[in-house]
Amino acid sequence: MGRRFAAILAVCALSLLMCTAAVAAEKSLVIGLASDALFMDPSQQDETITNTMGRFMYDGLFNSDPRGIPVPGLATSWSVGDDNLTWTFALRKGVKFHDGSDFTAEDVAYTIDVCRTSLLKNFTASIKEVRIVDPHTVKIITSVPTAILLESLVPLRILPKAYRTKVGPEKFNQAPIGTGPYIFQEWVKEDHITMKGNDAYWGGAPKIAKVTMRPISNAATRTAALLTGEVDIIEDVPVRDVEKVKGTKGFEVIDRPSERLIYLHVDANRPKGAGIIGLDRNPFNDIRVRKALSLAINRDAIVKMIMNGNAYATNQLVLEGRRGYTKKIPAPAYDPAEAKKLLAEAGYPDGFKIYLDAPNGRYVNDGQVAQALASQLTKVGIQIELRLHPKSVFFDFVRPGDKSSLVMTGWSEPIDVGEMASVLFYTRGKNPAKGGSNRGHYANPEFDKLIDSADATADPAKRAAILEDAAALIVADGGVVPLYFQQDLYGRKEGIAFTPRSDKSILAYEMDVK
Amino acid sequence: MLTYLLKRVFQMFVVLFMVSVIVFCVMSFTGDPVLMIVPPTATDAQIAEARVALGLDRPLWDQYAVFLRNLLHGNLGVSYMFKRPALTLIVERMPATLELVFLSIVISLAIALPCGVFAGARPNNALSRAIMGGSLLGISLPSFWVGILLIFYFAVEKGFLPSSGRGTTGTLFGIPFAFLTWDGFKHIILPAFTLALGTLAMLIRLIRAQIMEVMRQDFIRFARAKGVTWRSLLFSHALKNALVPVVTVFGLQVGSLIAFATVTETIFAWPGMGKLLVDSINTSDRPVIVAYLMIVAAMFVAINFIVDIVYTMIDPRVDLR
Repeated sequence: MGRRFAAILAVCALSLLMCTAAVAAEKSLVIGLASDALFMDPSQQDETITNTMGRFMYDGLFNSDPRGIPVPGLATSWSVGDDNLTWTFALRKGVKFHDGSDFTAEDVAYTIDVCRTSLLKNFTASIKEVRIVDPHTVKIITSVPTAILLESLVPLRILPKAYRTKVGPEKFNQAPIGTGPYIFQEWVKEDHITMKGNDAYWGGAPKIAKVTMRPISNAATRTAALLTGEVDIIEDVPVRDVEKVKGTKGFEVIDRPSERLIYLHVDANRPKGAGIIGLDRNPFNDIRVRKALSLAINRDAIVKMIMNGNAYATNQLVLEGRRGYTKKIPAPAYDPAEAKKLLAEAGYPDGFKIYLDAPNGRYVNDGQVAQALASQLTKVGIQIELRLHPKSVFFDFVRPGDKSSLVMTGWSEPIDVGEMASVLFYTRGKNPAKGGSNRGHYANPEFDKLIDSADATADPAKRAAILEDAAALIVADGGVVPLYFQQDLYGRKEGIAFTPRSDKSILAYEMDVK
Repeated sequence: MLTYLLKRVFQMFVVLFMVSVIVFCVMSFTGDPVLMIVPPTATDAQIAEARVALGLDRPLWDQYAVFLRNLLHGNLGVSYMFKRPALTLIVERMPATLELVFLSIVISLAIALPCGVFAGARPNNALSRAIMGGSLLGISLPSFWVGILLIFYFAVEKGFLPSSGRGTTGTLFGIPFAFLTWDGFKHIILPAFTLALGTLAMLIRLIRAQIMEVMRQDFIRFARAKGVTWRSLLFSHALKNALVPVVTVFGLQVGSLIAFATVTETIFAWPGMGKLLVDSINTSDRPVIVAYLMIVAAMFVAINFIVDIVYTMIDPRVDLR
């Protein structure tokens, strides 16, 4: 009897072993995310996780590499006509959607049409017309020369015209198909999204065959799920858990600078600033006061003490490698004595009193950073009354730019300084498409001219040169005070090959499991 | 009885109407949803356009009238963020919350009844003192902290139970439930216990106090003199008479379990409707918030109605008129 039992046990063990062997042959990955996707349909919202799904299951005419630089996706080559407006794209041949239907120029035109009326319309703003030349050639005609056209095409993930029109947008969002490296399987809201590798992918079959995404919004729970082995990689490791993950055998923390810049908007131009207490003029009109503002801030201390070293003090507007990053901007200096002197020269030997408006709970440790700023600025005489706002009301409060002269906020720029500046620093009211979020009412005709000329060229290199001048100009002029770039933190099991991306997507297609 | 029923149903509608008015007014103070939806690069024209598309350019009373009209057609509005009906979003997530709440109720009753009765019958026993001390902890410890602690002990340190999520679900009447599979059951234990803790502790204290009160009464002494066994005395004579206030409080507690599930669900990444509420508040997704509060208010009212009916079953002296 005992022997028979042992034999059964052995057979069981053997079959179990074979099972695991069969599973091991197929690599899988579980990703722990900070939130669920809003949509599976990439044309509906420009949001981090929705965009990530767009990169898993779809292609754009261009995709982006980990640094955020466009690389050919469904377009194989392109050329710009002599008018600087007509772009001709040759489309990849033999590409199929996940339902087996062919990808053609019709799908490109359809996608751009859909995005024109969706929340992605800012990416199609410069596109005047899409002309289908033949099934594998498409012409895009822009209304003005557009150096950033390729970047603008990346978020427009190509939708299957036939399928999406047949089932309708609502059903499509629940059961989407694209041409991308992963095929949609299941989406249980707030619990998991599963996908399987597309072996017929034009770029080659993915190494990881099965991907599960789990939204775990509580940061401590996300860390726990990594440490128990339930997930293989997580995004947004909370700063307080970094040491714990690093100290646990078999786990690693990876970081990279985030595109998100935290900075101060300064009302440099209006004679009467809002939110200045007990003064009928605006001290920031004087460039010496704006210079003093930047000199009074000890960015390194903020990074070290409040961000635990998980941030990068800066005086730049964008990360290195983006158009508008320039060596012409000197590294930030901290000199409270000089700041005091400049304030006295400007006629404020005893300083002045002003509100600082900042969000609380929108960016990493934002409330504490604002408190540190308040104490540093108050030390040199810029006496801060701090107003912290919950995230849901903050942007409502600062957007009109009529309640505050000093606002701490953040901006994540995926393209270049030109895109950022035309929203944030271009003179308000001059051009309906620009300056909408100019919360500091910065108005500098010279700066506007630079932005306009950058937006009038179709040559990316020329645009880059102009934007470097523009960035150097506004930082020197004190129209904006950059503070630091945030850090993206990932936790992973050892043996997972992963390079973090500027857009924060954890893309299984670029990864491998050992 | 029929008049009573009609009266209650009428009251229910009055309550729900008032809830809708209050919720609607409060919502208008919680930030501009339009700015949460449009991309940060949006121009003023795009923002204005989005405002019109969502109907937020109208005065508040007009928005409310539209809401009421839609409500009468069974339409609770469309989520700004997900662009899907708010009711669908909530109903999709409701089974997860209800199963969590249901298991919490089972856990709290299964532990609170024997513990409470014992502590009430033998107040000076060392075990009773331990139970009472424990219940004090259960009341005073915040659930988000207990949840994290349980995750780190049982999932990270010991590896007995999974840390988060719902695991594999089985299907009953076409609805997915986690407790139907072993994997799903392992996933539900920690969140259900965390959620139950507060209610459990409170019920123990309440049952104990009631039992102590009842045990002093004459009919208990009679029953003992008559030779009723100790167990039957406690559970059928004493407990039954101690139960009326317990049922009232319990009814209210079921409501707050549904409400507190928001916190527990967020900690354990449990895909229920409470987590949807937290996300919706963060994004000012008004239709979802309003729909959620209306549904929970309706549940509250319904539970209290059921509690009133249950009274008459426990205590025939209670008259529903």
